[in-house]
Amino acid sequence: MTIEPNDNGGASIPPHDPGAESAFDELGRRAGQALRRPAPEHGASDIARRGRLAQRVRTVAATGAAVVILVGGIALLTRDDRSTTITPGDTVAPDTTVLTPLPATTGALTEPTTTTAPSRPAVTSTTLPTGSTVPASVPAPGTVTVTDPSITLTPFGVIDEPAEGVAYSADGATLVTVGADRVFRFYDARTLVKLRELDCPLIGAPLPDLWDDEARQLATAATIGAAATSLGGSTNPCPVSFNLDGTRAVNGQSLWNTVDGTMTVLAGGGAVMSPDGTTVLTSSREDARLWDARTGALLIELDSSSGEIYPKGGHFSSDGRRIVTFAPDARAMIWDSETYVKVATLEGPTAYEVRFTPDGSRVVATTSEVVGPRTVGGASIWDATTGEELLHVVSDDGNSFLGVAGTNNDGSLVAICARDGTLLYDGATGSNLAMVPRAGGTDTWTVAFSPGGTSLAISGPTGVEVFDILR
Amino acid sequence: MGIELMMTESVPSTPPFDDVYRREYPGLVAVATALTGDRRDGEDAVQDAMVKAFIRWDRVGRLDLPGAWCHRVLLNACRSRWRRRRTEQRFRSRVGTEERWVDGPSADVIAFWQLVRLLPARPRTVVTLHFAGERTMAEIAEILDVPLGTVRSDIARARIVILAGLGGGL
Repeated sequence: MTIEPNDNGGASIPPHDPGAESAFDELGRRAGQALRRPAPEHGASDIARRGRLAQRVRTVAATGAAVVILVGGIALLTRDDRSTTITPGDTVAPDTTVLTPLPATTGALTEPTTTTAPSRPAVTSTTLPTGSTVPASVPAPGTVTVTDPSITLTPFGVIDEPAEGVAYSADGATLVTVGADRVFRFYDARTLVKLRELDCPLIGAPLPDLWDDEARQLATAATIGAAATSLGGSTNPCPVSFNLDGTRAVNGQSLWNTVDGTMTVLAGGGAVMSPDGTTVLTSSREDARLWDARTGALLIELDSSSGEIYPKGGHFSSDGRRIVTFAPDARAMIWDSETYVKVATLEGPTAYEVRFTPDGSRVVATTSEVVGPRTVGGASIWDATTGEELLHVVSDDGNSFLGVAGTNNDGSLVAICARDGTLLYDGATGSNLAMVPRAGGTDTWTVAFSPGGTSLAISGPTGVEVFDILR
Repeated sequence: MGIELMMTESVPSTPPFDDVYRREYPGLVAVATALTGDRRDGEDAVQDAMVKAFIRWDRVGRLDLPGAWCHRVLLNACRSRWRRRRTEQRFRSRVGTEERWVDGPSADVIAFWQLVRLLPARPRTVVTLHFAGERTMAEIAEILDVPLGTVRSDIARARIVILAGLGGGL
């Protein structure tokens, strides 16, 4: 349907139709109610904390100085709402204000205190003289701790742009990232030189602003489509995946026809395209669903085992023949994508994020379980055919929050994004091989092995670190 | 016309920020969700708008309609592609520890918002403010700085287009 813009300033009003008006008002009222949510319990105090911090930064910025916040080894240079990462040894601009962490035992904020627990590290302020450098006591990011001499991890390079997800293209030539800004960035995997950027479409955003011929041409590249698909697993930001000819794309709840610019809303969310581009998998709290990618018609509801709180996630295997669905409060299940028959149920600890190994023989999950008084994170590997748990490892340092786990092609190497860094395990024995401290002291979110298993890319809010692997 | 000029500062005392926040949040998050198409984006946009309101509360709080000011700021936030999120909130949402999920809307509600998103910008915003934000037509006229007749016209035209799009299925 085409809707012409109303460009007459609303001078005339269509004839009054009480029946239609009543029906429309009733539908609109229900549609509005469906979107309304009560205010979060601590919402106002969170706003107040953010507001006070923003006021403080604004005050400093108004003096013409930049603000450097040192948090656990990362330095964020903030000026005019832009942040730049600096590392030990970098020269700091004149009149730069450095905010350094207070000792943890003080537990006090220099900003006004609130009744809720502070979510930011405590900071205090000092001013460095012109031309001074970042204190040498700040640990250098990327120092690898190797606990097994059979493996060598060599820093290869850093991409200094935010990346919530990272993946290699199928041929290993391109590294693709997606950031919270919903921009895909493509890099030459050999040089880490940026090749292109592509905006992700937002649901409901006007298509002409987002899709042009160039974007469609990019979308048709099979390697990019494959890489974008493999970035899935989170709805934050919603990944985009394309069919093979680039005429369809999915993002969140949206199925886009990139040729005529129309969009169909799919019930559920976290939509991912099958590798052959014929079906779309969405997931919600209630179920996972398969849709016809060309028509948007519902094919089947999979995995209706209800979780209580959390939405499910789902992924296709690289050959498209299997689907894994999962939720933190429900068992992960593997399905045949053609017969829609359940192949296996994965028993074990709570799984937050489950993915197939690139060869499709196994699935690996980031897990969480209660050990003594703590909730401890780890990872599990299952046989994708039988559902048998082959390996379960627990984070050595008791991390409770973990990001995505990834494996090399055959699952012999497992990398887990932990709170303090990326942990590397032997996928057969479960022995710890190495630990890469979190880049710049920030969380790590996604890992990706190159198709040949010779490189490891680790993404976080400050960028991507790439390591060469020799084993 | 600037937003500060739009409303008279006739209320001598400033109401508590918390009260206005709780009262306005349901409508704000509904509007932002409708316009961005994503509840998490909507919540982020509301956060950004309310932070701005908090910072200027000594002035915003004295306005006749502080909620209308918040909606105006929210509309600008929804137009922005950038959504700043706190690191911990983003990380926790990734592993599902803070995900709040509600029952999905019915098919006609989904279709309603899908059709609303196909409207031109101003009617889309008008309909969203009216039904999601539960704003009166007069308030919408103030928020968007357009004549009241334009708001009425936009809603009437949107009704025809949306009902036609639904195929008389009501």
